[in-house]
Amino acid sequence: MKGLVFRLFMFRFFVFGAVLCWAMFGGYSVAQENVAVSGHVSSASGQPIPDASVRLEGTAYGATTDARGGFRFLAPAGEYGLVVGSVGYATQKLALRVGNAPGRPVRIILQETRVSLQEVEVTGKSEAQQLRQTGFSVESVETSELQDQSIQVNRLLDRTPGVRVRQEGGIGSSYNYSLHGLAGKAVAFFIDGVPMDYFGSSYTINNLPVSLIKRIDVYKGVVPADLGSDALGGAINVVSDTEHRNFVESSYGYGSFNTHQAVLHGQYTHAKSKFTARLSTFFTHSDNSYKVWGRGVNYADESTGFKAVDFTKENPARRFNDRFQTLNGKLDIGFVDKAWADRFFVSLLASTQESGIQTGQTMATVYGKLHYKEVLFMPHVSYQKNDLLTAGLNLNLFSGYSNREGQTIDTAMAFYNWKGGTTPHAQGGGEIARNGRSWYTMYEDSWINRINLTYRLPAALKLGINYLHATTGRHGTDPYISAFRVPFIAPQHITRQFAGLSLETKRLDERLYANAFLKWYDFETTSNELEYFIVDGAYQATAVPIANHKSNLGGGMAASYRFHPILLAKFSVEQATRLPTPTEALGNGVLVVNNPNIRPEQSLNINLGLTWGRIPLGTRQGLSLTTGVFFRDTKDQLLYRIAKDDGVYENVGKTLGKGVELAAVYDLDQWLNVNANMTYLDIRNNQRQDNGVPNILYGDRLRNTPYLLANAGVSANLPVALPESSRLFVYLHANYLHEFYLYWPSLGSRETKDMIPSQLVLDLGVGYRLPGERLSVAVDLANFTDTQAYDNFLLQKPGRSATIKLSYRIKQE
Amino acid sequence: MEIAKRFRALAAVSLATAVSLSACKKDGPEEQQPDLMKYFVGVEVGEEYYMVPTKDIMSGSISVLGNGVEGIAHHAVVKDGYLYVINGAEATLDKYKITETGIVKEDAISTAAVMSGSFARYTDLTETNDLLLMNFPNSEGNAPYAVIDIATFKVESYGSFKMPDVDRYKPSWCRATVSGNKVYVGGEYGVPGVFGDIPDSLITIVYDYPSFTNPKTIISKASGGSVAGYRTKGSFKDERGDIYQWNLRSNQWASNAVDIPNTPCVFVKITNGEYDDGYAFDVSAKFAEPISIWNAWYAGNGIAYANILLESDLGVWENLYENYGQLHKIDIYNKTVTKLNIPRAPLNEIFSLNSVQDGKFYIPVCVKGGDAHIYEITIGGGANDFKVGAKLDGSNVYAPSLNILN
Repeated sequence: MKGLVFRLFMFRFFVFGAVLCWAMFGGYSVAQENVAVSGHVSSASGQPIPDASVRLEGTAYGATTDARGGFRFLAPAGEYGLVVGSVGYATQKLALRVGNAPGRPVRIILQETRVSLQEVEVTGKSEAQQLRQTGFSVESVETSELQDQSIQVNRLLDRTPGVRVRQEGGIGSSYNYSLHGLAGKAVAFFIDGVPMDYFGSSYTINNLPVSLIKRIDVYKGVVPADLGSDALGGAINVVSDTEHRNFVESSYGYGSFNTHQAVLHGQYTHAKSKFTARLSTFFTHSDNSYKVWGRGVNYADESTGFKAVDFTKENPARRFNDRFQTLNGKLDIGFVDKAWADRFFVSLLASTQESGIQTGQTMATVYGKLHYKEVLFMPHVSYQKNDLLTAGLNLNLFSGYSNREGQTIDTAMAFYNWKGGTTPHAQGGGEIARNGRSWYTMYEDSWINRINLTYRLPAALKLGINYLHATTGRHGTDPYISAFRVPFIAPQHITRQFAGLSLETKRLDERLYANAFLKWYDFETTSNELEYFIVDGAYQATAVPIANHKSNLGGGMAASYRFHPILLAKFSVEQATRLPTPTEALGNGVLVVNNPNIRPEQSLNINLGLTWGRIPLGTRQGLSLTTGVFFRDTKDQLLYRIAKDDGVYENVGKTLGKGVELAAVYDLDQWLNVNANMTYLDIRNNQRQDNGVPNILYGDRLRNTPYLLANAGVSANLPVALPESSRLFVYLHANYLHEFYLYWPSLGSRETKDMIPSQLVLDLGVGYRLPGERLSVAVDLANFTDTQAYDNFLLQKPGRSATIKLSYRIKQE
Repeated sequence: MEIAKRFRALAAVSLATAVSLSACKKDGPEEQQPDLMKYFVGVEVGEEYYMVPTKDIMSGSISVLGNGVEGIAHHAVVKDGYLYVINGAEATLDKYKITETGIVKEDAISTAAVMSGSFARYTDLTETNDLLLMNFPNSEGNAPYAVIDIATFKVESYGSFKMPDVDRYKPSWCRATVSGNKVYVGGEYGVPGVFGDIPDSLITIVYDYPSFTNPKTIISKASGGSVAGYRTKGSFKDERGDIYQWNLRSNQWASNAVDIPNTPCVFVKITNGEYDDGYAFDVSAKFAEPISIWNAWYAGNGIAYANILLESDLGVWENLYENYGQLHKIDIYNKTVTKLNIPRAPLNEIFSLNSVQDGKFYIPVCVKGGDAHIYEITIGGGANDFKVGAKLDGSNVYAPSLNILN
């Protein structure tokens, strides 16, 4: 407890500091009244050009275009030269008069060109464009349009082709990503290239507010070596905004189920010294008290003769022990744009979380008091320098220490039901322990170090080297239960290493892109099991260490070829390995037990894709079509096996997956966007034998895995008469999931089988940015048709909910 | 004449009507017995469970591919046209009506409500046609229970009963047999956290039934180990009204390699509420090397069938799931043991066998890496008095239960 008190003190100190910084930023304001300049940049073929530089010549005023080629910034009235450039296009300059009132949006068309830089021929594209045009199967989800909205990242990514996010409940609940059918820990998460595994359970992709994210890159199947880690099924890299500008942004959202979300985000860079301080904090609270009903949500007592009576939609139950609250703060202090570093930061991430645990594996088991608390501190340093010592040598370093203390508190002395009532019992307390009360604390210490090096070689080659070393130790205590039953009573450890080597080139006027890579994976665990020995005539428990060490090599390549300016073909292949995570190998001390003999997952992943677009439909409309097929041959797949009280991650065998995805995007005059996509997966059990005997499930479709997904949406920056520099944005999105069986489809009679039902969930939102661009207001309606939605068997997700969000920002242009 | 004609006509009509009605009565629908599903084979594939109903277990094949009710396999009771089974996913005791084509769920009792703070691990049919739900005692010795009346499918009583410590030993496992107004709770006792430290006796707690009050500890010195049972109950009642128990102790369970030779596998008898110290059948004495019993099923007339393993085959826990289990006939009256010449198989994971019919005992035998069949064994017969019945899926499919509608 002493450690916890110290951590809480530290956390409050940190938050106080953060608030103080905000107060200091609050004193900052733009001295002169500026006028909005806006417009759109596109290529001669009508393609929007994102990340193009738009500047008023001789001033600091300007902006970078967004994903749709749009730009907007503030500047004082006057006569200027507007300089617009983008790598790969001829820079254009035109005269611009900024009046006292905002003028009409400017339309700029850039001509594609090539420039020669020393020996290296560069046909430049924006970062996002480059990513999309590599051979990797990658989606880059821009968040610029949704910065004002109140939308969870999980919901955003769930709309991406080939992606399915399975969430157990409301805000803060557990979730599971599936990329082309490979799910769970097969999908690795990164933030700016650093694995998020060690950032705790609060600072996760779903809890991060959209406003802190610039874009999210989703790699399906094949993952580049420079995103250094063991990602078997794909990787999701959150890219934060690292522009060197001074700003403060804050937002507050309030919504259904007593949900509050506040975000404070700011950065200050001293013009001369380049000293930079950056703060990102967010607070989220939700009671998650949404309605549930139907199978598994029942009530029984003497009044019903103990018959299980299901709650109905007309008479639903409400979740009552699902409160989630998290407070996160990240402070970066350092320098940018120095001769010795492009970026150097000393950072501290601190987070707390408290969450109720409402149900067991299904809603049939109700918990009334069981809850979880967590405090995490993660000091870390990061360093980035391009052209280090010599031109073309780029270095990126990260080193961090993570200290996490998680408490699972199970001290209730009564049994709870869906009415929130209790029945006392003589079982000694505890709702999941079932054998007496428990207050289990798990201590986790991790070190993570990453080095990423790229070097531009002659002959248009680029060499990449990446190395990651991470070690985690866990031990546990519980004052209520016998020592021999405390998980991690003896410390357990896991060390994971990853090294990657890549060689990349672009040739044939950049029509051809190729990247070949090698990867090395290594992990070592020391877990233990209690054994009993007779010592001095009495039995004594002794923790007997069990060591496990595995290494693997993998590799692959990605290539793309542009047959026509709007026709791109992609191919990628990888023999990938995923190392077990600390929880998979060591358990979590509560519901997951350790597996000392666990092995890495391995998979052969192949993707083939074709992108056709943007196809001009007249002068104002365009259409983009994307299709892809993929193949996954996986062995030693790690799946969580649920037992009655707990579970364990096990290597279950082989699967063979094939699939196809289609996506289409239509745009009208850059203000209307209509998109649709669908994914079909055919993943089969490829295990011919099970422990030496034939497996009757060979060839069966994989259980509990969605196989038909579809999305459709429309979004628009409405071209209605509005005050200049204001913006009205609306969206409507539909997400369809086709039914799938919980267990193996071939077993049992179809009419008795449990399944996750088909469902169509509709979301709607509107956002308005007021003139001056400082203030915006947004309203989001999630699942507005109140569909009973499930991602997991008998775990109902929230129904209709509404959120209103206010955002305020001050930027130094 | 006219009267005679009319009488004859009336008589003829009456006769025809009578014959007709008689024929209707004999052949009418109310006389037809529905051809209900009669056999219920539990099936386990990995961690998935199915109950496969069938009308024939002695010919053809029984497959879970496309057949069976999902989610249930282990603890089932079949009685009076219904099948009762614990549904762990929804925390209910489900009542299924047996039909000509399968089983249809009709009703459910919340085990979450009556097994408060715990869950229903077992359900057993008592001699008073109750379903007795139980779970193990917790570290304080409290074991939850519930009694369900089958006729009305209502909860008669529920709660928990306290199992006393015996010397320094605490209860860790229990399962019961009801006889008259008493319930005999066979126990497994030991020292928590210390594997193999067990008392040198067999311990049963006798309570009033169904109130689970007035506990009385009875002890047999015939051996040590658990009389709670393993997957199958460790006790049964014979036709004479006596209760017999078998003990489980092994170097893999409730004992240790040092104590094995001193704690034989026995069958003991409880008569009039006390252990009959004059009866103990030392099964171990019939073998040349240490053995252990992992499940035994009473078939009637003093005959039980037991899954016996050689301790030398149980060097590691995983061997329980290999082909080391051998079915033996145990004559508890005449104290004989007969090895049956059916294949060795892992029989330790059979949870319920209510499978006696017309003097035969039926058991699924799933040889790992080999064939799987239902075996029909003539009760009281010799080593080869059995027939091989319907073929099961085999491979990675295991049959943990067989219940027959009698």
